Amino acid sequence: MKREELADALRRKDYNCAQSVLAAFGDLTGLPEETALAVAGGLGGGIGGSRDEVCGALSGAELVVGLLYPHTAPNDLDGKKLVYEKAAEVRRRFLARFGAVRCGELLEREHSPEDWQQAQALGSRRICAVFIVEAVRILEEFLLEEGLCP
Amino acid sequence: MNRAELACQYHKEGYNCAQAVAGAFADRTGLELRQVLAVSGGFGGGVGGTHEELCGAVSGGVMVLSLLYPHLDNSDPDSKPALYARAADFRSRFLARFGNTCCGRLLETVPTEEEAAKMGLTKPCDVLIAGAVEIVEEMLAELG
Repeated sequence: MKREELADALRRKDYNCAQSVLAAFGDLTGLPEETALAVAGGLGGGIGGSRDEVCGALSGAELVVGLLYPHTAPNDLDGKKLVYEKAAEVRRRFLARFGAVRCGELLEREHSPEDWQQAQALGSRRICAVFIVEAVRILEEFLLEEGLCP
Repeated sequence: MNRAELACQYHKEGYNCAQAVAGAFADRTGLELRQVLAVSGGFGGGVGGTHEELCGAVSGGVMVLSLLYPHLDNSDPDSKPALYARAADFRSRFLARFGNTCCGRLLETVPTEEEAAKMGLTKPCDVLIAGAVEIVEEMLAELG
């Protein structure tokens, strides 16, 4: 199953946007599905469904970035700088694609007819289904460029 | 060393705000410290040091609550709303205490390096990191 299909399948099972994206990259991160679902559980719908703060689909992608560029040693400023650069780049691409990164703002924006058609094709009345699939695609494209995504 | 001090110690070692908060609870969350630090690595400075978006100390705290009250099984209909309520409550408490949740806005309000030093803190954002840790602990105490 493709990662975007995996993420969409998780969304259909009522896992949140952040969980769906993070867990779909389990093959690359090595994080067991249960752990991925656990750690991202509160990052859905902004924070805890508040619709404030960052879109959970993007947060899910940023959790993957952290795992693939692990900054896990003390006083490793190069490691910190590297993961920050990659995280900022993924955010920039998501922002370029949708024109916003905050949950509530994304929900209020007008989206293209193509995006709404995609939501419908994904069996959802909510545009979030598209954010999830697109966050997976944006991250895959980025990781492909980085040589990290087979 | 209490958890707030441990979190500030991680921060001093160059870990970001999200890592510092999440790392300080690693013994309770069941994840290896290395995994906790890795997964939260991009959430410092409001996503990749952009200073946009949510303060990493809040992101780290939400990850801790998520690991402690995991939403894993949708056959339990309460699992998702229960975690969401806790995560949103944590965010509200942080907002009430610090007046904001956005990294860049908070940076305008944190003490200067000098003021922080007088408070015994090595970095200005330690105020937010220690605060986030204290709020998580306060919630855990209330929840038993």
